[in-house]
Amino acid sequence: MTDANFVMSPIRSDHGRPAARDAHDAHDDWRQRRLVAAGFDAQLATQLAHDGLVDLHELLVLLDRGCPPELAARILAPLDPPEPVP
Amino acid sequence: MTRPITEPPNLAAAEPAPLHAPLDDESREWLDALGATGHVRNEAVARLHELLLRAARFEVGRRRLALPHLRGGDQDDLAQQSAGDALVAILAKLSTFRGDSRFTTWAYKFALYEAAVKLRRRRWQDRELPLEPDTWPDIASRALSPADHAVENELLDALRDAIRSSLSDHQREVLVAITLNGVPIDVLAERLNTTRGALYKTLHDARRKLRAQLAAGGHDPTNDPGRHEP
Repeated sequence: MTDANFVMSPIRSDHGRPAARDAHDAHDDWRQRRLVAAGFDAQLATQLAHDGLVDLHELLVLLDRGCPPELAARILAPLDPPEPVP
Repeated sequence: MTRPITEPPNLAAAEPAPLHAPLDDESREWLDALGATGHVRNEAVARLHELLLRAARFEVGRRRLALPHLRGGDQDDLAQQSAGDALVAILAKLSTFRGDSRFTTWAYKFALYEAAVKLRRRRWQDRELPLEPDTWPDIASRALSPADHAVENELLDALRDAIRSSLSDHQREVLVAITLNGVPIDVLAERLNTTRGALYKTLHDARRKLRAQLAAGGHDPTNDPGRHEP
C-alpha cells in the first residue's frame, strides 16, 4: 500500500482567478501527486498530469502489473500529439 | 372437479402486438418538428431548450441545499450547462424515443439527469478525494445477536485483511474511494482522465479477488449472519 495520503486541498479562488481555473490546477496537482506516489519521477508526473490526453487509470493499471513508469508513459502516449500553437 | 372447456386461442388470427406504444398528438408534433428542417426545426429546438432549462433550474434549485456555497450565478450556469448538454443528448437519441411516455416527460429526464451529474461533480470539486481507508466506516451497523455479531466481525476483519493484502495499490484505491468513501464513479473517472467503464472493470476485478480470498480463508461472503432462514 502506498503511504501517501492522496487528498485534494481545498480549492480557493485567490487573486481574482476564476474558481474553475483554480479547480483545474488543483486537479492537475492531485494527479501529479498521485503519479509521484505511484513511482513516477516528478518531471514526468507533472507532464502527464497536465496532459489531458493520457488516461491515468490505465497508467496506474500498467504499474500495478509491474510495468516501469517510463515505459507505461510511452505505451499510453497519444499517437497524434496536438499541433503546437504558433 | 371438472375443468371448464375453453376454446384454444386462434393464433393465426391474433394481431401482432405493436412494438411501441402509439404516440400522442403532442409527442408526434415534437418529433415532426425536430425532424424537420429550417425555421420549423430551429423553432422546435429553441422551445425544447426552454423546456429543458426550466427542468434544470428546478432540479438545481431542489438540490441547492446540498451545495450551500453555490451562488445564484453559479446555479444558473449549472442549469444552462445542463440544459445545453441535455439538448445535445436528446437530439442525438431522438430515434430511440419509443413513446412509452410523453415526449416532454422523456426529455425532462435528460435535463434532470444532467443537472444531477453536474451538481454531484460540483459538490466533489472542492472536496477531498479520499483514496485511502484512513477510517473504516462502520459497516456492521445492524442489530445482531452476540453470536452473529462475532461472526460478522470476523468476516469484516477478513475483508479488511483481504483489501490490504490481495489487491494491487490502484485496485485498492479505486475500491476504497468508490465503495467505502462514497466518491461518485464519474467524479473519479474525470479526475483520472478515464472512463466509468474502465473503473467498473477494476471494481469488478477487485471484488472477484476479495471473494476468492475470503472463500480461501473459509469465509462465505454471501452468508449474511443477520439473515436467518424461516
